Amino acid sequence: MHHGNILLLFLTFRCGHCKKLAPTYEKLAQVYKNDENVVIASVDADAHKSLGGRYGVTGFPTLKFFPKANKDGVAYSSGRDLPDFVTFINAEAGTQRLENGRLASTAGTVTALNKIASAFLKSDDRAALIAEAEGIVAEEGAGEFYVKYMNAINKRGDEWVAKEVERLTGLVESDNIAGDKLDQFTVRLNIISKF
Amino acid sequence: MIFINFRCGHCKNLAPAYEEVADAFEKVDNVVIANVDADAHKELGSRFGVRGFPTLKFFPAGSTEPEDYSGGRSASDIVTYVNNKAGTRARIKQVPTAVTVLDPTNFDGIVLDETKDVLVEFYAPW
Repeated sequence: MHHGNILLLFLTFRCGHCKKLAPTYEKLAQVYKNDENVVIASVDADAHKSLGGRYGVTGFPTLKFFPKANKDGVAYSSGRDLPDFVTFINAEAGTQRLENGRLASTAGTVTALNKIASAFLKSDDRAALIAEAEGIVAEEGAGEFYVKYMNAINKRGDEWVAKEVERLTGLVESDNIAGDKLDQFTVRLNIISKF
Repeated sequence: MIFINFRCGHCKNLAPAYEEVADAFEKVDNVVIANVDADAHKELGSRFGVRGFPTLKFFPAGSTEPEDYSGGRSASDIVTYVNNKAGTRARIKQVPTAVTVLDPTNFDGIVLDETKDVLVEFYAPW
């Protein structure tokens, strides 16, 4: 019997890259879930072909970024690891998230006020510094906690700073606090750490 | 010498959906979502005339005569089928996700919102 040569071709269509990206993408969405002006979204472009077609999507996954000022969208072509995404979003959206979802140590701080804070404890004219800080807060519309802390230090004593740092650090690192509350405590820790 | 390596790609494809079906029926006592390695246990496969993989068969309560399942292989297709057969009302567990899921009804409202910076992943589920 003559057996012809048979070529068998198994075709399996799989979006391996989609599956590979999924856990990182989920983490990314968790990082920014408290930044209401950042949206991490996905669309099944196979179920909704019109949406993929509208943006000329031919391969999967395709990532497109739609900033506030450009709703035509731009291709996202940085890396697909979490640090790459976070660096990108922070740069584009002006956010200050770390990969663990917490705010970075600069969040909520004001450069001009940092200078005053670092001089505060050693200064012999704290009143002048407080006045200066109040002026900056009025100008910038930010940094109220610098002034609050200056007054609190005067009232409770210089040793209170270390206690407050310890208290806030405990709160920020506890597992029970999340979301807005965690962000607020992080900002306050960032500020008190400047003194 | 020709080495041919046959891999059951369709089995691998079905696995996540089958896991979802199992989760859906986890707390339903009278329904069992099971699998068997019919390559390791060839007698079980041949007993029921299984030739290709994966093959899905439904064994109703108190019967040894299975029915072939040849419907869709999405989790929701399989869950619907089992619910119809078993008279149950199990549902697929929605995994909580922080990713915003878009479809034609909400895409423009979210993506084209000028107060938001939006990253969109266009993916395929297969």
